[in-house]
Amino acid sequence: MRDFTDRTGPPPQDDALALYDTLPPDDRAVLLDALRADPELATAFQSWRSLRADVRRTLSESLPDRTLLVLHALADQEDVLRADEHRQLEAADLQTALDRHPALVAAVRRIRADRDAFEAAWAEGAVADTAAAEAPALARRQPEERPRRAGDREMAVRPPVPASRRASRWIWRTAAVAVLVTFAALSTWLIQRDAGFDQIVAEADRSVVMPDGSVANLAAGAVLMVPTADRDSRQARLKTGSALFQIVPDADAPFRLQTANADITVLGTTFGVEASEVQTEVALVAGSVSLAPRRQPDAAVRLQPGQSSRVLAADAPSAPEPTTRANVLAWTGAVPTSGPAGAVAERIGTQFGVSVAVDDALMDELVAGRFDQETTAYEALNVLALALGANVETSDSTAYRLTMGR
Amino acid sequence: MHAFDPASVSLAQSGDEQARTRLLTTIEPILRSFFLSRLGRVAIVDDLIQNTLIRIHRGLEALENPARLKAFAMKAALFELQDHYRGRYSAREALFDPDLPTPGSVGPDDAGLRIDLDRALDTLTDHARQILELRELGYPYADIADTLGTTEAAVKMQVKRAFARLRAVLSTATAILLALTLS
Repeated sequence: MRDFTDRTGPPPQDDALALYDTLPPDDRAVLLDALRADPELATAFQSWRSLRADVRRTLSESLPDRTLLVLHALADQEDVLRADEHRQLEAADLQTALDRHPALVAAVRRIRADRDAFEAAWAEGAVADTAAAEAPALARRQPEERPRRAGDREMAVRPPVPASRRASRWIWRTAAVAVLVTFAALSTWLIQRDAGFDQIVAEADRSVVMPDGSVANLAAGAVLMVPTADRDSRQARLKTGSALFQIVPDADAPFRLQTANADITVLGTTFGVEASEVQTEVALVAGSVSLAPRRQPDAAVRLQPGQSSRVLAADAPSAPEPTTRANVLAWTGAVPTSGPAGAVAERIGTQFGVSVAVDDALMDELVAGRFDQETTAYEALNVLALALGANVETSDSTAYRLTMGR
Repeated sequence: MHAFDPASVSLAQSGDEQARTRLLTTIEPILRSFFLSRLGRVAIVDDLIQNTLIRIHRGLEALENPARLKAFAMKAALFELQDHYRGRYSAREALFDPDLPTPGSVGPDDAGLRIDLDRALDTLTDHARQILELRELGYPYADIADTLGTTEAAVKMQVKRAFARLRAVLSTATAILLALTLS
């Protein structure tokens, strides 16, 4: 498919195939095109994935329950495991799995390092809490002098949170834990945990440059949460309303947009979102984006440019479908469209009230992209022609024809 | 009385809301510190903290010895971390690869491919196989490098070489098949 708004991407290579599980969506899409064009490469890649699946299968046969690995790693210390956990370990005969898979031995080392990190955090946290309990008034008057915790190193630039605010947050959290199984509580929790984010309420249409340089164009009424300086900058939360996001590409750090009920994972791309407490609708203009209910990450769907999908409450996303005039994007003036060039040209013609003919040789060429409602038919068709390597011919301002380029 | 004092933990277990709130409030920054130290400043940390607190909240009443709160909370955090590795990896597969058929293990009907895969597995060095297994356990390449005491670049190089060996095995198999067909 030719993308007339985003045609970047590295050429496929063996190295990329070997490390396909680390590739961002856009690079994967490029790779998929290459695999479709090269059967030998596709066979090799399929075999590689089957080999990886075999490795995974033999691992899970040897170790069906990952908690056993944690228990085994902790068993070298007294008073950590309960008697029933010791019995569970003995019954599992984990040693056979460890002998067969050296990776499990390495994983045990890793878990013990995790344990050491937890012990260190616990020790610092317990000391800090004791100090706070012994001198609460002093801690409130001079929060900058309270004992530092391990986490403070990471959050050093965040202003100290007043004790009363921490307490109130936890009153809520305790309540949320009790009813977290319900969707309503999940939504509430998302809103409540917005500490570390700045809230932007759009009283009129406006643009916001987010900390990583990505741009959010907000429709009036939208409420966007952007991370403060001490937080991961590749995230945002759209609490409600409509917005068009233009995300700065970063192959190493997918951008995560959350709404009350959905997670949207993207790299460099442009997409529109309309969110409420119970529904999220996404329309993709360019690039690649995946959409998943917050409670069902495995139910993610990936959208192609010109497609839209919707998550209602905690349901799986609707099947992606072509978007001609998505409500999600109507306010922006951008019209995403995709499909055979003949159909796209017809949509442009309908949009601007002109007739558009297309040479037979171009009719079935697949394209995807967007055009601006504020532009003219001639300009929109020129963008399409550019993607096709075609020419735009016109006898007057009401009839156009896309012809093969020479 | 400290929130982790066994008497205070017992109060929390018995339904004293104030004690339970204080206990969870005290554990939260510890969990934050822990997850940040293991994963860095990533958006998922908030979810991991919350899920661990849910584990603690739900299991608290069953804690037999209040003096073992630390071990109890540690297991909750470590289980959650393992779930994160496992879940994140499968989620990534689902997120980023919807267009490809899901590769399963090779079945008995694919005898030719089975032989090729066995041959390819045999060509893997122990080191490469260990890396691939750790990856299948869900660890990022950077963590694998850290665990094995090497660099991320060296780890990735092993994976690339493993793929190159697989391709070589497949090419050889194809050449043999072609020779048999022509003879």
